[in-house]
Amino acid sequence: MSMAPAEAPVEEIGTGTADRTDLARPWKVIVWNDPINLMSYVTFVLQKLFGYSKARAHKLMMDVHTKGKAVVSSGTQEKAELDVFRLHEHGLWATMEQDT
Amino acid sequence: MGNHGAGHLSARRRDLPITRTGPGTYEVHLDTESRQVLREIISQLRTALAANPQDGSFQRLFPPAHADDPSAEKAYRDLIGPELQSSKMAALEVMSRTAGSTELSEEEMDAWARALNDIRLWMGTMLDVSEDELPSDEPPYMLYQVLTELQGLAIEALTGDDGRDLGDIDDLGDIDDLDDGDDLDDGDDDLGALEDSGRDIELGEGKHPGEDAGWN
Repeated sequence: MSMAPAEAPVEEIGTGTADRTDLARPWKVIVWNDPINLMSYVTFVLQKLFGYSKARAHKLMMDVHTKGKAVVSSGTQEKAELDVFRLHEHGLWATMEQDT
Repeated sequence: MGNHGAGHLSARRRDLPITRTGPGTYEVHLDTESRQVLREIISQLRTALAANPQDGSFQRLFPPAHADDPSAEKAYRDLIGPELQSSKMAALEVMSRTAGSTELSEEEMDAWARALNDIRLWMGTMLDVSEDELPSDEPPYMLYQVLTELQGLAIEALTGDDGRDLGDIDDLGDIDDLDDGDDLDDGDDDLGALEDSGRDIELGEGKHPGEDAGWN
């Protein structure tokens, strides 16, 4: 069962209005459930990209599967963008958002 | 997420069409016709992707990074869109080039897993598949199902689960009856479905972005 990304306040990212405090807040990378990606593939990708143990990757995959989403990594905006890009390379439905 | 076909072939692991034979080496045993079907579907995807990557059928290949921020999304898309597309095209090219190979390297097997995933994301979007049973045994659905099984085997080989983890042997029977008990590399059966499906890969027009509310 797929779930739509939760509504969240629009952040003015990349528009030059973010102050230092905004920039310092970490970003989190979220993988969303979808009906096509295989459970084994999601686990495989999380291990491959982030070096997670099989147990940790499996736990995150199950969170995606049962709860609709899971935070799979976090860090600076640049790191989050790279992580999202690599997840998209592998076909996972990943988004990023800044911690509130 | 999808779990169609998981464990489906586990009971006959010694006959698996994709196996790891050593560190970074894999063997693929598929019949000639199945390999040709793979080349054809890859060719169709590459052609469509090159023609119009904005087509709605590709929404799952290029999902939004910023679901709630259009301006940030546009910046992300402008920054990485071309690179993301070329990355996907490269994996498809590797799989197409090695579609006739018996031996694959780690990198090639990995490209197969990613390319099969993108093919399934593309087909699955157009076929509007859900996590439930596939709604039809029409050729496109059969092809999707067989590609799902093939990708599952590629992942098992990559993760070293093939032939070792027999825990899912009982986890059979939740998919359509593609398996009539014969070996996969016998062109008359399982992947015969791939051949049959491949003769009629007409998936119709892709949806336009936003039409499919299920993913937005």
